[in-house]
Amino acid sequence: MDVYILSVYFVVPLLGALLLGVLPANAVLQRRVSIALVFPVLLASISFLAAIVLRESTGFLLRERIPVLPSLGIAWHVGIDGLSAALLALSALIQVVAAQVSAPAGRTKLYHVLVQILFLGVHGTFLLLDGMFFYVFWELMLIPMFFLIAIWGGSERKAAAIKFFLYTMAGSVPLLLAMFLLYFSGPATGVMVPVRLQEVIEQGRVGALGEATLYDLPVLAPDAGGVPTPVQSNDLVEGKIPQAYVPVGRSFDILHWKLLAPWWMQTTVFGMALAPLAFVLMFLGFAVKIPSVPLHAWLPHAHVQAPTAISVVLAGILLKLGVYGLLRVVWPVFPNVVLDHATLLGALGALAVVWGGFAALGQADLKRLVAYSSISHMGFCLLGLAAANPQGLSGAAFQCIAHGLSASLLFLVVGVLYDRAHHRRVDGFGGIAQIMPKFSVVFLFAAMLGAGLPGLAGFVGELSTILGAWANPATQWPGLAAASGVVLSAGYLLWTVQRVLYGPVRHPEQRSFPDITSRELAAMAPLMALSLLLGLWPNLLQAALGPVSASLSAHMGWVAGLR
Amino acid sequence: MNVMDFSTLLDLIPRELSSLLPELFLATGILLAMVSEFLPGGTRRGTLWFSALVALCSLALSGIEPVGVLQTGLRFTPDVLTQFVRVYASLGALMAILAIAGSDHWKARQEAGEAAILVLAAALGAMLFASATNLVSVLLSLEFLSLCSYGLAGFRGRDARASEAGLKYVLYGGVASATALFGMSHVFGMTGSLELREIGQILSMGGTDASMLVPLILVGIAFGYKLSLVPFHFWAPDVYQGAPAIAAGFLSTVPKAAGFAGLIHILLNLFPSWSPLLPGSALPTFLALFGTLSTVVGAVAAGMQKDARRLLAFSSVANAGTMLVVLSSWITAEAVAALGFFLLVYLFANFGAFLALDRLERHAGESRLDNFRGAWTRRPATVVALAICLFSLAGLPPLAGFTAKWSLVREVLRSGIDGSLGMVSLVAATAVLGSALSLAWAYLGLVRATAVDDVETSETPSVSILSGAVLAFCSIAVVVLGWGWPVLDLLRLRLAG
Repeated sequence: MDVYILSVYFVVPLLGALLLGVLPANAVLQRRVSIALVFPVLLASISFLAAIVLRESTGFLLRERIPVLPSLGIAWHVGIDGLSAALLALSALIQVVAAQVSAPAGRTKLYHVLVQILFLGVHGTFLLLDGMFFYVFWELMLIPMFFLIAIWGGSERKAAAIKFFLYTMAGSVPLLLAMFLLYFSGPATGVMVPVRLQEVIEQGRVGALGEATLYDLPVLAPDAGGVPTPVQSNDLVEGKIPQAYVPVGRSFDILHWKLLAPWWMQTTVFGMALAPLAFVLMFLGFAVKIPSVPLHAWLPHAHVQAPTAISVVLAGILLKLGVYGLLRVVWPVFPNVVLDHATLLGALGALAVVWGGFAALGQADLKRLVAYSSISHMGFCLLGLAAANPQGLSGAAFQCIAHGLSASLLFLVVGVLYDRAHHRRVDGFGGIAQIMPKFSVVFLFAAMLGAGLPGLAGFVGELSTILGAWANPATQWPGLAAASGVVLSAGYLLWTVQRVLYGPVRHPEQRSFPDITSRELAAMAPLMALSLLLGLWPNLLQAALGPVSASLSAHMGWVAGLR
Repeated sequence: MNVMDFSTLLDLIPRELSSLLPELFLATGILLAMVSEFLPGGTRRGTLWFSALVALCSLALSGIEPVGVLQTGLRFTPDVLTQFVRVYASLGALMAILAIAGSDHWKARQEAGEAAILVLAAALGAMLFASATNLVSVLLSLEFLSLCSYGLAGFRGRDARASEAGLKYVLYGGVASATALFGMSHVFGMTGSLELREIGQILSMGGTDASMLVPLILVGIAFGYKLSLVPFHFWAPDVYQGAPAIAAGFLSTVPKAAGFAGLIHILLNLFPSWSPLLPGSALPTFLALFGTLSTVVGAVAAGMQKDARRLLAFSSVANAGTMLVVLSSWITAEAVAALGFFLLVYLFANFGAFLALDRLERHAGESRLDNFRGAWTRRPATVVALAICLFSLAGLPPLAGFTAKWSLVREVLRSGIDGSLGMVSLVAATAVLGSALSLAWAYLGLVRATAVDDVETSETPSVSILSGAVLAFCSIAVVVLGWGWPVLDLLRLRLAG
């Protein structure tokens, strides 16, 4: 049953793409249909999110596994938990916002169809729990994004699109290889792995005979004679079982990989320890997307060349997929590698914060500036992940949402300026506050949001990742270094505000610029309202992200303790 | 010694013939088509339609005709693999003939009917080759296939480049055949048998020494030429550039399927005890590294091309290497099913790509990337189909190329981890997956020229609905087979039986 509700995320973009392909290539009509298509998805995401918050759900609200070809170990496995629901809601919001921005001129129909396919990939990545299908949807985003940048972008759009494509694909190849290694390093004949009882209680289900199952596998415990026998669901809750096991074999299932976490620690492949090898391969794949310094070179180029709406989608949602992949696949599967190298991972995050911040200080192009600030802000996510405590993990997830709001807003603001002036040079503006007073308020708000002003969403995300990092002795120094990045982001954003908005009007021809229109404001208003709401009442979102993060952190600590 | 008295031979002929029903049907069809060319009232289009009908019937017959039990002592021993090649070759021939009938570049030509007959004959050669289990029948069917291919490759005879293509193909092919014949005569001299199975038995008894390697290497080189594997691939770019695009699409797919089927038959018969239990054998490692070399060199060279057809030629070199890699796993039903599925997807994607070029080239052979700039303004649907085929060739999900590559890499790694191939399989798998980067770079060049660059061009080649329908079929197949797991499973079940 569950899966039929979740299929809204697949059916709507698929049918939407067909519908938009059939409808006439009228820009207004296509845009309106595109916006209308988002609402079922937005509604579903908000409902799921609300249900998760109300139930204080630590696991999957809905989850279904349908075997496709048992002989090949392939199953259509979808599930939604607090993390994926929050990101899906953000994705729907970003899609509405991006659709409100005027689609770039020419080949209207193709543009809207490609956007639908792009979001099909986004939805699938957030929902699929089978490694192979996860990869399919992960890669599905590549082709539409290539065309969206290459056809409708700026003057260097083709080079930027190819750079984006090859960078991402270069990350995907090790990711796929790692997935294969995990499959073949799995126990060929099945093995009994110990499971955390708390996880069985949180994530488990009751099978046909009242027996507990965990991720569709029977939960077993040795009886008096030492023979593994199925565990009754009641016994678990009543605490009668000291330790339980599940039989796991070779699988492409991400959740089965998670169960096998103790197994990976002692497995070798081709004479090498599996866990570090597969960790590095997978980390590469996801880190390109975040993007983590030094794999970030594609991002500024792609951002500058992409049209405004696509920049919004790229910063608002696509970068989050990297963090999501780490949280969903890598962190649960290789806890020991993460915990052993927390300092290094945290340092990578802090490096991105500082590097991106300094690079942003030096940018003359507004879009490049926002792109580097994205790299800097996404560094906080990696920092929180490295801390691997509940606060750090939920902070990283929160920072994803917060950055989705702030970066989108900043790109919209820059888009408005570009729309008027047809250039994006920081030094090409001055005294805009006198000319466009309403716009200036929005610009200032966006800058404050990006700079992490208390009371806005960005502050919560950055603060909780830094606090999380401080709470873990291994990541204290990276945490301190990243904290200095907050000063940097305040520096480059306020400096930009000062140069663009204030001072005398340096270019008299800009006096004729019209102020922000109500339609432009309509695209930005939900982002501003939400970042204010989440800044003042972070628990609204933390209630969904917190339990999931706490559960993951407990799992990681438990697995590491087995050594 | 394989001595058969005359009465045994007479007794065997009907049994042998009955097992070759689709081939016999196709041969009859070819003869009738040739006659129809010379009928006083016959038209060229008539021959085309008749040939298409023959291919369609052959497809149906190959699909439903059950493959009998393995019969020993015959020159042709059809099995499930043969049936796969029969279906494959008939389908390829049908698509090629329909495409020729619909192509603008062939419309003015008087020889379209002859081309269709050559396509059918090449398909027949491919089918025979895929069931040959005797050195003589291997060589004869290989020559039959090759001769028809030479004819197809040089079809644009008056064009200098086409003549070069035909001549190069003949010369290279002739040398390859001669090498094979030379090697086979050595084999016969050393073992005294022409039957692959008997030769295999003699080999496994250890009745030969290291000098047996020489003829095997010679035969291997011949296969390397025919399958366009590095370093025997140099003919491919020139031939695909000079041949008519549709012929290039056919020649890069159907003979490849036959070649791999023949290679599997030879390997299985010569090394019946080849299994993971024999870790000492260097052959799997050799096959894996040979395939890896082709994959990498083909992919890198494809990335450097400025001509769409040469690009596709090098990508076919890379793909052939990828297919060879999977043979390095001991030949299980899963591995052969993965190879078969890969070949099937490759047929649609590669033939589709060449067909799209045929529809986009203003004059046949004008295939520099620059010539395709702004093609989407003229032929948006063709450009979409081309992009689908190219992205599938690059192995991007959700297209069939990904499904194929996924199952293939899976078998390669399985033979490394479960079998004895070891680290080599990781190298090969990395090369196969990594080469996708270089291939993607190459294809993106073509996609960018056709689908992104906006250069208004007034000149528009006329195109027909028929070739459009074939192209649509190819691209839809590439999309649908992206969910081709049932097909893969079906192949596996048939091969396991």
